[in-house]
Order: sequence, then structure tokens, then C-alpha cells
Amino acid sequence: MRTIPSRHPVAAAVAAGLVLVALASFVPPYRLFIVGQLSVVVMVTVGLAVLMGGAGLLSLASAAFMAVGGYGAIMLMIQWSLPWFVAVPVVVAAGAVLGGLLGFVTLRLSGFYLAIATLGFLQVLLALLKHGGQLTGGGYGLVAPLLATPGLPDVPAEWLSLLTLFCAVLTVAAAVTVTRSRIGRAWIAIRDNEAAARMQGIDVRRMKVLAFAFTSGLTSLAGALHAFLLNGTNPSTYTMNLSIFHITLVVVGGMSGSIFGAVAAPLVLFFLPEMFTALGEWRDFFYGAILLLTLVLMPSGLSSLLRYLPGQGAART
Amino acid sequence: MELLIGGLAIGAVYALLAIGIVLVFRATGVVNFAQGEVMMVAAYAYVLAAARTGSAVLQMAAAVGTGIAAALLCYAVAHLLLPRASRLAQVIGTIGVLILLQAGARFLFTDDPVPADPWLFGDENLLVGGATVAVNSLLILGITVLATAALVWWQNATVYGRAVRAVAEDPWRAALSGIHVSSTLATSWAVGGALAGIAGLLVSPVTGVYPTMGDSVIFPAFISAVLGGFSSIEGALVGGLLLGLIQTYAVVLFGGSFKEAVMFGVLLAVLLWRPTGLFAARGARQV
Amino acid sequence: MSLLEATGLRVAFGGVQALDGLDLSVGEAEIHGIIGPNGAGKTTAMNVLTGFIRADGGTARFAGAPLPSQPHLVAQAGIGRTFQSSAIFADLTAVENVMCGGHRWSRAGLFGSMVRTRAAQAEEAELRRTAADWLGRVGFQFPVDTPVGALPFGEHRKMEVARALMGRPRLLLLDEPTAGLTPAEVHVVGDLLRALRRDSAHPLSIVLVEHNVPFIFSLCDRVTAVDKGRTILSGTPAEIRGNAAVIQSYLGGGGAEGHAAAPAVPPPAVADTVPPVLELRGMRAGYGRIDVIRGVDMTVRPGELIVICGRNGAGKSTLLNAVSGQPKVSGGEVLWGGARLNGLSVSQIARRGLALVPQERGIIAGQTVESNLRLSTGGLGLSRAGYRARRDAMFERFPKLGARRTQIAGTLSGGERQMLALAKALLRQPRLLLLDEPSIGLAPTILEELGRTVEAIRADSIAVVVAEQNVWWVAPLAQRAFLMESGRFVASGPAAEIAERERLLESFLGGQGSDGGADEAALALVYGGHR
Ligand SMILES: Nc1ncnc2c1ncn2[C@@H]1O[C@H](COP(=O)(O)OP(=O)(O)OP(=O)(O)O)[C@@H](O)[C@H]1O
Ligand SMILES: [Mg+2]
Repeated sequence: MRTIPSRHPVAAAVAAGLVLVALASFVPPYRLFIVGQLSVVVMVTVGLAVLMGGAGLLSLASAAFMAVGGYGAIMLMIQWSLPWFVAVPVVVAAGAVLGGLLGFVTLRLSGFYLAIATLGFLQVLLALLKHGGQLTGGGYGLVAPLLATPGLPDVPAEWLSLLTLFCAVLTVAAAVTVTRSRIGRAWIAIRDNEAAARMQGIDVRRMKVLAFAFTSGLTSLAGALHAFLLNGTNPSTYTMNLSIFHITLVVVGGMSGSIFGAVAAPLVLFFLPEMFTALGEWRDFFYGAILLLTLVLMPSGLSSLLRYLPGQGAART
Repeated sequence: MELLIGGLAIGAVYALLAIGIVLVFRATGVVNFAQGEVMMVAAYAYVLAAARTGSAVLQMAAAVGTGIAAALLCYAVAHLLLPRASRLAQVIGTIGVLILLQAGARFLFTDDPVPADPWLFGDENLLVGGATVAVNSLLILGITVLATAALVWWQNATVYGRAVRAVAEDPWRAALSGIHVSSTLATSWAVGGALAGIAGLLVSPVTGVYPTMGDSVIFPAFISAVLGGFSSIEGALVGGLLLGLIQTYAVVLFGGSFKEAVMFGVLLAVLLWRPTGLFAARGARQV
Repeated sequence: MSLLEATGLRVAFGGVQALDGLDLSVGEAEIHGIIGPNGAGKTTAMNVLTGFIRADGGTARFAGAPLPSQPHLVAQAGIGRTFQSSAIFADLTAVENVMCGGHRWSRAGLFGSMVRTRAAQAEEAELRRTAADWLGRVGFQFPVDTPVGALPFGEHRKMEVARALMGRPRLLLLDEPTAGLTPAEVHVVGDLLRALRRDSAHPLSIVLVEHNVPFIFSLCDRVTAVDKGRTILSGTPAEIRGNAAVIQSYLGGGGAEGHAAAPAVPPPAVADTVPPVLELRGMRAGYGRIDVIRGVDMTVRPGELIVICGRNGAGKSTLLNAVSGQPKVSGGEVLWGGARLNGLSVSQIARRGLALVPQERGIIAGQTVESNLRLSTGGLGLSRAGYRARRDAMFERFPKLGARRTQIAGTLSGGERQMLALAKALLRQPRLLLLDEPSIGLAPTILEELGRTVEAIRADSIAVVVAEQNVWWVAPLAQRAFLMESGRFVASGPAAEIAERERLLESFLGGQGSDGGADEAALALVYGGHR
């Protein structure tokens, strides 16, 4: 096997993922489930942060692509008896293509129009899923088949949470490397000044479609893992409130395409409320209050916390 | 005929909310997600007032006043608490208000719908061209059209309307010409709140009053606004009425479960055909 | 054979014929200047050539092939360009901005970027190295990793030139690249452009739109003069300079030297007994926790014209902006006819009779010219007739605006915007007028006109404060001048004297970096013990 230089981001990401997974395996099983869920939310937020913060495209379709991932993976496994580790990559690719298509069709839209149009996509997709009969399980959704892996003994349910955590780490790494590349800079350039971006030879249409495809692929992956975690899909999961929640996370994280913020925001707005389930009817107050509080304390997002880290200076992450 | 008027009346409620959203958006660039909750709060005020007084004027004042107060709360959060935040962060701020208002209402009044009596005319019907039409539906329509006309004049024919747009585009440069920025902003929010108050007053007899009543109208209101070009008041009116009709007939033709899909399908089609809605904004900005 | 050949370009916007048969021919390795009055169609021509605007007629060929019709294809064909008003990517650092210029010749795709293939890594390093190199060559004065949002205007201009060069163009279109630069910085850019053309490995042709007449004439091989969307004459600088039509439409009385005919004697000083309109006492202001203005004292009396000069980033704009209410004054006092202005909002201060024309123009870009004027009456309580009278007076003073009253202000040419901004301020009949770099982007004839306007305003017993880098047009008109350096006044006195010192200082610094030692030494030389 060819040796990869130790500083290479892929190796670093895999190593970091393994370390985190190793640490997480000490977490008690019932908490591990929350870790898995958190990982899903992080993946979606990170993907959306690239689309919104990076390319400046406001999309309410994140729930739709989670549905694509979840339904897609399970349908492939049921209809064509594909093993899960084939179904997932296929569904990620399909999500990316579908996202690219959505991006292409909505190229002329921007801002709130784009948000509402992508919301329309979600609603139409949901209606189809709810009335898909046998194929989609109608209003009840689908139950995930057992995730058997040939050659491996049956593993306990917790491994799914760990796998999701590992995927989340890889997602974060991918988002970081992409946003710091030529492509990521082109996205930000388009958002900041489209005319000047075009004059640098950047093909704006192509880049927007690419951003949609990238984000949709990641979101589909998250959606598939989410469905596995929950043992199935239910159409009432993929509401526009879920999409709005994802956007909230991105904004709270910081709109500068910050990946750090996209990881931190789910910790504050998802993990924290999950930890305080004892609050009962006060939970909504609690959630609303931390939302407003983070906005007021850090109007440019949690990513502004980075400034206080030693050695970060004004660097953007 | 009943269907037509009924659809238009639903549409008028959407339009009232949509126009409030458009007003605030024109003035501040913020999309107010809490507009439905402003309406909800006003609806509770109306019910409480109706239990205490028979005076239609007082009931109206309670609803409108509460609507204004709730909208000013949104203003305070979006502009006073988050003065330097991005537009999108301010939008998320209104979502924060939405959550708190809903939680507050649930805390005070529980989830059960409170029935409300129709304002002014009760359950009277009118015979128009052989069909019975609820007077209330006509009332809703009339009020909406009048309000729209007044607002269109206010925004397009007076210096005030221009100042609103100037502040939206560039608060600092507007202030340099002597325009008071905060009061201009607050006025737009307040007017939007008053409209939501009227909507709450008109809609509560139909749907009852409950904490999440805003959820079911906010997206139709957004769609109406987008159909109408998002910064055009008359556009929002037409968009709202259109949507009310589409929705009503969609329920009749395809059944209730496709209502949403049809609404958004129409919206998608319109946007793909005309990316800035049916009524493109006047004086579109260029880079 | 020429590299770029455009003939008979025509563009109409509604009623305005912006280009009316413009011809332009640029040879290989040539520096080609375009001059012409404000609104002549220079920027429009660039927009047509780079595919932002579709021409109604005419042909354009580049390197023997028809020009592509979309900006990114034009860029890929080898044409780079800068924009008249800064077009930066505000969320990137300086070096990242410039790296974007290399998009055209870098190749890494989404997947390569994601997993950082060897090729992608090597390319990224190459991009960064080249970009840093270009920043150095244009005389960029800050660390390359500085976020650009906070940089002064002049650094943006230099960075944009570097970004355009980063694309390895064969033809570079520069729209007023030196607007807002100090003379020394202009010098650096001039030297760079000359060096680029000589670089035989990469022959580069440059088209330069400028109102800095000496700069154009000293640098260019050929110059095209345009007016009203048409080419008047294309030729060597000497031919252009001598042409009567060009002098009449563009160069004006100051001729090719670009200097306004100065009045023989500056206006008399205003007596100390006249009560001041504005008084600053130890004023401090800044953004966030850092004070940019660090203790400024100044008195302004009615009928006085004061010039504040100083380099990019010295704090001139911050001073004027803070006096008019934003950013907030953080220390000291601002007195308006004796009463404190500290803490008042921008609109409250404006309503007391202070008018600021900010550096990047005080117009509302999304509304019409007429609407802009109407809006500027906020708080004056004018009747409709009263407004009309004042408006018509402005249209008389700036006839170009009158002809464009229904045009959206954002589509005005650079110079027309400046006129509108001035008209908006004057319409308020202020007691104190603050002008921030009003000369940027104005044609020489218009600048002369501006000088006369400012003089007339001052003679009306209105106080005027002008912050300028190119003081030559206003210094002869002013009673007093201040030299600003790092947020303080380091010298004050008669305008002519300060302007001379400023010139000396500039030539000492010669565009060197703002590195402290050199600064201090040069300042000591100029001011002796006065600091
Ligand atoms: N989009 C537009 N709509 C209407 N008129 C326009 C538009 N763009 C430009 N114009 C008009 O076309 C004319 C030429 O403008 P252009 O910007 O090319 O001038 P310019 O030569 O660059 O002037 P300056 O030296 O002041 O920058 C101007 O009168 C301007 O008002
Ligand atoms: Mg120009």
C-alpha cells in the first residue's frame, strides 16, 4: 500500500474519525443514540453551510434530500435487495444528481424566491411519498430491513451510531478542504460579487449547480444514516420545520461559510435541549431563549468564537 | 358562487398577512416569520375583548393594538437586539420570537382551540344572485381591498414610501439626508402588525383561536407574497386572492391531502416562468 | 495587426444613447488610454467588450476571433478587467481575492479539492505564491492574509489590479485604477504597467480609462478620446493633447497639465471673532475598540474652506463620518454652534444643517435621480413648490442631472453620481458641507466646475471641509489646511504651504511601504521639530 504523508487531510480525517469513534464507544448505549443523531444533524448543517454560507444560496430543501437519502436507501434495499453498503453510495450519487438538477432548474432564482421554490420541491416530494402506495409505504413510511454485512457477524445496534459519527467527521473534513480550495473560493466570490466573479473566468451557473450537488449528496448520506438509526422512514419527519431548523443552525453557526460554526451550532441548539428533556413544557421557552441569546451575544455566529482561540488571529475557517 | 366568495375570503386573509410581510420586507429586508404569531396573539386579544365588551370598535382596537404591540416586539428583537447582525440572522431572530410567542400562548391558554364569535355581523347571510353568501366573507374582502388601496397610495405616492425604500437600501445614506431610520423602520413593522391584527380578528371565527394557528397561514402568506413579486403590495393582494381560490378548488377537485402540493406546484411553475413573481418590483436594483 | 478591434459599437439605454458608434483599436503590447467626459460611455464600452452588456450594433474581435458573449468566456479568452467602483470579495482575505484571479488557469475539480490530490495541493501552493507575488508588485501595504473588508479604499484598488493580473491576461482593461490612490501610489502602478508591457515572455496590452490626465499622457502609447459615445480621435498623446475638440470637451482650461487655473489670491482668512459652526475638541472615534481618530482639534467658521489632506488610511474619512454621527464619537467633544453633538444620530445631526457627501457617493442607488433629490429633503418641511424651486436650481447647476431625472441612480456614470451626491447635499442648504474625496472620477472640466461650485458655496457663508489626496484643485481656494497622519493632525497652516509639504512628503516616501521607520524619518525631515 502506498504511504500517504501523515499531514494529508484524508489521513488526518480518518485518524480523527477513528479517535472520536474510539472515545464514543465508552459512551453508554442510550446516550450513543443521541450522539448518532447529533452526527446526522452536524452532517446536514455542514452541507447546508457550504451552500448558504459559501455559495450564498438559500435552500429549504434539506429535509427533502434527507428524505431522498432515507427513502432511497431503504427502497433500494427492499426492491432490489441491494446490501446497505451499496445502497448508500448509490443513493448519495442519486441525491447529488437530483440536487444538481434542482440547482439547474432554479438557476434564475435567488434569495427568498429560491428558498420558497426549494420549499415547493420539498412539499411536492412529500406529497408523492405520502401517496406512493406500497412503494413508499404511504402515510406510515418504510421500515428499514436488517443491515446485514456478509462475512461479518451480527453487530450490536450501537455500531450504527459510531458509523454515523465517523461519517460526520469525514463530512466535516471534506467541507473544510472544499471551502478552502479553488472551488470554495469561487463560491464565496460569486456570493460576494457576482460580476467580479464572472470576470475571473468563473462559470457562475456551473458553480451554483456544483454547490447544490455537493450539499445534496452530503444531505442524502445523512438522510440514509438517519433512516437506519431510526429503523425506518416516516413522511412526517421531513417537514419544512426540519429545513427551517437546519437553516437556523447555519445562521447561528455563522454565515461566513464557517464549518466550525456548523459543527458548534448543533451542539448548542440540538444537543443541549436534548440533554434537558426534563424541562417538559418549558423546553420551547428554553430553546427560544438560547436561540435569541446566541444571536444577541454572537451576531455574526458562533464562528466568531474562533477569534478567542490562541493562534487563530483573524483567520477564517 | 359560495365557493368563489369563500375562496376569495381565505385568500384575503392570506393577503392581509402577506402585505404585512411585504411592507416589512420592503423597509428592512427582513422576512418576518413571526407574522402568523402576531396574528395569533391579536386573535386571543379579540376573543378576550369580545368576552368583556360588545362594542365592535373596542374589539377591533384590542386586536389591532395587540397586533401592533406584537409586531413592535419583533422589531425590537430584529433591530434593537440584533442591530449589527446580518439580515438572515434577523430573520432567524423572528423565528425566535415565533417560538417564544407560541410557547407563551400554550402556557397561558393551553392547546385547545377557543371558539370565537364573528365580528360585527355574526352569522348573517346575504342572497347574491341566487346564492347565499356569508356577510363576513364580504366584509373580509372589502376590508382587505380598502386597506390595500390605502397602503399602495401611502407607499408609492408619498415621500414616506420612498424614504422606506431608501432606508432599506442603505440606512446610513438615508440618514445622511435627514431621514430618521429607526422610526421609519418601526412604522413599517407597526403597520404590518395592525394588518395581522385585522387578519386575526377576521379569521378567528372561522378557525377558532389556538397557539399554532399561525403555522397554517404563514406559508400560504409567503407564497402569496412571492407570487406577487415579494415587494409589491398590490401583487401580494392578487397573489393572496389567487392562492385562496387555487386552494379552495384544489380541495374540491383533488381532496385535502393534495392541497399543499398543488399550492406549491403552482408556485414552482410561476417562479420558473417568471423568477421574480407575477408583479416584478418597481425600480429593480441593478449591480 | 491589432489585438482588439472594435468598430461601430452602439448601445442605448432607454432614451440615452450611451455608445453611438464607438471605435477602438488596441495593438499588441500597447498601453492604450481612453479619455472622455463623465458619461461619455467609457465604462459602457468596457461592459460591452467583456460581455456584461449586449451591444445593439457594431463588431468586436479579439486576437482574430469574435469576442465571446459571456463574461467568464471573455475572461477565459484572455481579457482581464477591473471595475470602476471597487468590486472586492469581502469575505476573503487579500491573497485569497487575488487567488480567485487564477481560477481561469487552475484546474482542481470538486473531487480533487475534497481529497486534496497531489496535483491539487501543488496547484494551490502555486496559486498562493503567485498571488502574494502580485500583491507585492502592485505595492500592497498590508500582510497578505488581511481580511479585505477593513482595508482602506486605495488598497482595494491595488488588490483588484493584482487580481486581474493573476489571470495571465493578454489584454487588461482598467477602469480608473488610480482613483483614490496617492500620487506616490499612482507612480508605483505606472511603473508596474510599464514593466508589464516590456515583459517579453508575456506580452500584455493594457487599456486604461483615467481622468488623471498627466498619468495617461505620460504612460500611454496611444490614446482614444471619446465623447457622447463616439470616438473623437485616436492617436499619440501629443496629437490628442493638441486637438481643439478634445481640449474643448474634456481637458478644459487647465489643459494637459490637469491643473485648474488657480485664482491669483486665496480668499482672506475669516476673523477669529466670528463664532464657529463646528468645533472639535480632542475628538476620538473608531470602529470597535480601536480608535482610528486619536484626538483631533479643529474649528470651522462660516465662509471658511478647509482642506484635510493625508494618505490612504490616515483617518480622513473616519473623521468626517464620525462628525456626522457614525461611527460614534468615543472621546472629546463635537460642538455645533456651541452645543454638543456627541451621541446624536446621523439623521438628527443632518437635520441641524450638516451635510456629508461620503467617499463612495451619498446616493440611493435603487431610486431615480428625482427621487433621490426629493428624499434629501428629510426634515426640512419644504412645501411642494419650495422643493421644486430648489430642485430646479440644482438642475440648472448640473444640467446633466436634469436630463436624467428619471434614470435609476445606480446606473449613472461615476461622474454623474458624484454630481447627484453633491446636488443632494446642496439641496438641503446646509450650514456646513463635508466633502470626502470629491475629485475621484471627475473629468478635468467637471473638476474645474466643482472648484467653482465649492468657491461659490463658501462665498455664500457656508463652511466647507474637503478631505482630499489630490489637493491641487482645491488648495488654491482654501484658507487653511490640515495634514492628517495616523488619526491626528500633524501639521496645519495656509493651504498652499501644507499642500507643498504633502507633496514633499509623498516624494520622500515614494510609495514605500508604511513601515514605521521610513515614515518617522520622512516626517521628521519635513516637519523638523514641529511634531
Ligand atoms: N443601465 C443603464 N441605464 C440607463 N443609462 C445608463 C445605464 N448605464 C449607463 N447609462 C448611461 O450611459 C452613459 C454612459 O455611461 P458610462 O458609465 O459608460 O460613462 P463613463 O464614460 O464611464 O463616465 P465616468 O467617467 O463618469 O465614469 C451615462 O450617461 C449613463 O448615465
Ligand atoms: Mg466610468
